[in-house]
Amino acid sequence: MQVVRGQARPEVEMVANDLAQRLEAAGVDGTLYVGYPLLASAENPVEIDALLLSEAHGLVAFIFRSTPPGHGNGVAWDELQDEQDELVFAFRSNLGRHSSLRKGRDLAVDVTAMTVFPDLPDADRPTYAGLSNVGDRVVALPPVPAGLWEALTAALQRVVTMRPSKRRASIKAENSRGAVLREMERQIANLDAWQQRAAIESPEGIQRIRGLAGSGKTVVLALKAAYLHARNPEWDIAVVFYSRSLYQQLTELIERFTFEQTNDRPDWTKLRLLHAWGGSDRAGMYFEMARAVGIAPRDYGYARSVYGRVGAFSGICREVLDALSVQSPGALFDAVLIDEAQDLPVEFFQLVHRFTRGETNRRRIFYAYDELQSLSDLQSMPSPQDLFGRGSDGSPLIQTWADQVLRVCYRNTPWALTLAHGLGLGVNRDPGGLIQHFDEPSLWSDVGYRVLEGELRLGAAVELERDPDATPDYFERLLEQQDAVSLHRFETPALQAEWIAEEIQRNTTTDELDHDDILVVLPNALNARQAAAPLIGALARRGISSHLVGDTSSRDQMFIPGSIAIAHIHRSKGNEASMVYVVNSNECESGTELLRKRNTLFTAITRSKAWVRICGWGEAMDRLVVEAARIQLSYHLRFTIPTFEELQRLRTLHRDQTPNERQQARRAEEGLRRFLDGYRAGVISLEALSPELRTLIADLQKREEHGGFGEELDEGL
Amino acid sequence: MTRDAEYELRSFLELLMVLGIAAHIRPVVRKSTSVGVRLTWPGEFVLQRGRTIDADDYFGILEHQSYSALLTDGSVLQISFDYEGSALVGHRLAMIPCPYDVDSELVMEFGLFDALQLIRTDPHTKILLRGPIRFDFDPNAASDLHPASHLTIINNESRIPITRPITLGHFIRFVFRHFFPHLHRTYDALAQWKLSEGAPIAEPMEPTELHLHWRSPSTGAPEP
Repeated sequence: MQVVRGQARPEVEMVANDLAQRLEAAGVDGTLYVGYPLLASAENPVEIDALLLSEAHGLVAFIFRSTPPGHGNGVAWDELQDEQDELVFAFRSNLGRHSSLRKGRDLAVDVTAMTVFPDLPDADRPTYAGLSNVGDRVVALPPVPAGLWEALTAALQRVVTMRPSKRRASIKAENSRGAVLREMERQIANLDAWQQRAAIESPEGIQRIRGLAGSGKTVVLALKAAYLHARNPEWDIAVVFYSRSLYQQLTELIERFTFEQTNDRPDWTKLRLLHAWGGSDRAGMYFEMARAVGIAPRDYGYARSVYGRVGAFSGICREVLDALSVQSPGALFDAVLIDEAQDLPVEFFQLVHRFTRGETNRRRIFYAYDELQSLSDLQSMPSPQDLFGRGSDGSPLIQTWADQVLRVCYRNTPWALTLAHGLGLGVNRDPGGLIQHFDEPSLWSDVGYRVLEGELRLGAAVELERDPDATPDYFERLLEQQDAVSLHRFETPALQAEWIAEEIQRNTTTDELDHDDILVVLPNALNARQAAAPLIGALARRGISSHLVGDTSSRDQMFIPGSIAIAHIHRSKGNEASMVYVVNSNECESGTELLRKRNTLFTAITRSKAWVRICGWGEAMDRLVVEAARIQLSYHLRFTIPTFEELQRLRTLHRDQTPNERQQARRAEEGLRRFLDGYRAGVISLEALSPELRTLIADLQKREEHGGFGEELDEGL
Repeated sequence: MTRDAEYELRSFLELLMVLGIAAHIRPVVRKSTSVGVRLTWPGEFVLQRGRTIDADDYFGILEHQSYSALLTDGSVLQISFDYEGSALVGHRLAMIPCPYDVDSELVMEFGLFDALQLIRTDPHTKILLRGPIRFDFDPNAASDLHPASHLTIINNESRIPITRPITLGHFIRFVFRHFFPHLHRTYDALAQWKLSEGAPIAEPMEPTELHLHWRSPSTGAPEP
């Protein structure tokens, strides 16, 4: 039996725990929701102390009462019966909204209301129980009628269309790609078990909601916000976002969820949707907090000139923090929910913490972030201890927190995801091996992989695959593995461009895809325009418009009607498309700053919701194809997790270089090339070199003979 | 003939992309006119006739992508040619400079479009006083006051006479030599774009007033 704890009064919680134990002891299987859901009714939302959802025993709504009738302060049976009737009625009107649960004018599945007292009541009524016999009472209830279990769970677990659907009116062929997408978009997904828990459970204190990109964190956050708001209408709640594209999505979700729970729209003065920064045109969290301290809020222009582009936001947050050190304004919010937390600086979190009500360690701050957005720990989310800063005694303000992990990835196919992780980490890179790995191997399991062999431990060998439990079934049903992911190698960039343009032409005609179903990703931001030129030309020759995201339209507006979006990697983040072409993948195969390059490849591949074509040219692409083929054999990742020391070494080896280092490396390479030219031309002889250099060269030759330069060069020197 | 013109225009636009001069180019499309074909950019965005364009119009052009090329400094090239059969019967060749000086760091961070929006809303932004130039050829609208080929600058009613229609090559060389001299010096392809024969010269109505005229590339001597 599973227990999902929403927000309930402490006395209810205690009884609920006891109830859960009793039910479990009686052999009842199912999920017990405590303090959830809220049922919309004509007046105030109806609270449910506990709700049992069990296939074998149906839907049971529990009312907790301390004293049975006839025992001193006990209430009359009539009143208790009214209570039960009201509850059943509220339930029926809610369930009745779902046609799948109706039979004619009645409900096909009904709810049982049961009042539970600590002690046995005198009368023997089937819907009244004490803790000692509630198990028996429940076991005696009839099961959910055949065929209705799915519909019932869907109705209660918030039917949510996980993928926004388009109107695909012009689909003619049954099996075109467009038709497949239409089918995928129709998939109605319940919140999965992890998402439910993450949404409903809102303990006091810090809570992290973690999962891969595309695991539904925004939906979870929206539901949580709506639930907290409906339960606590007097609370000041803030929902914080950073990329403007989230605003629309969050608004719609919160409105929908609130309506389901209260039959009313949210009170937007109490439940506030705030951009992290804010500006003259829209409300913002930073703006609110700055004003509360009496600081005139800064705009981007100021922030950039004073703190530079990268440190702009953290700089102005620091200003407010400093001002706070001599002031203590009151709390602004009872609860704060933050989406895309990985994009926000540490100073922002510390500020939010200062303005949230409650004891230091019990302030309700819920933040969601993408796990493994970057494959290297260097850029990963700091732990709450580091995020929320230290107190005056030097110890972290936050020592304990709750974690909710969302294992299911709804956005990417399991094949694209596995390949992206495999190539991103360089699992099958030969020669050279693994490029990077995160510190905590258990993360693999958290993000939805399962261990086939070996163990998740530093230094151990392991074989992993996507856990079927963490994979929505519609991928397997609607797509073919071979078609979902493919690599393509060309002789030249021009041939690459021609092929892609030809494919895109087919996508928009025979395949019945829309222009905005397609995205072309360029790995390199610096030469993006030049790299895109051949493709833009090839498309134009076929009469197809295309645009570079950010240059021809706002970078928040990825897609333009009738035009193919081409984006370099920085502009692709956070966006997705059903058909993705990754161009010039060869640039990510090897060389310096390999971490960044492989990260780029990872990000590019995971933009795809259905199909991805990884394209490139030249020898580097040949190597990439070979590396990928090893993973594509069975879509298993088989490798040895590095030891702690190896992790350190890898980090240094493949890290980002400073501009000086880059220049140095380039000059050194040029120098070496010139040496080789001179040597081959007979102008330089080895004997003329110093003994030190000669030894080095002999050493290198030996290594090469023994197969693999590897990266142990610095070891022997 | 129009095929050649189409290829020439397309090559020019693609070259701008490859050299990194253009942030964006539009496909060259053929539209039917009452007498033949127009080579132009896709989409319609009609500026209100008869008034000088302002910054809002400039942004409207960007939003609707109403151009042949958007250059990395924010300026815009609009190039269209009208043909009746193989005869050139009209053109519009315009260069609309960006009203602002675009910060390349800002562009890197936000992309050209958003960078321009940011600059636009910043009260401290300097506005550069440099207006669009437009070479129009429209023999149907010709009259005593309206030369068939003319240059419009500063005032939307200005019609500085030109003795014959402009070819693409002349336009390219003119624009880059005078308005992007650095690019002109760096890229031979632009400086040396092939000049083709222009149409016969039409004598300006007032030959003693200032007007534009040039020699034919082949003969070197002005035609009678």
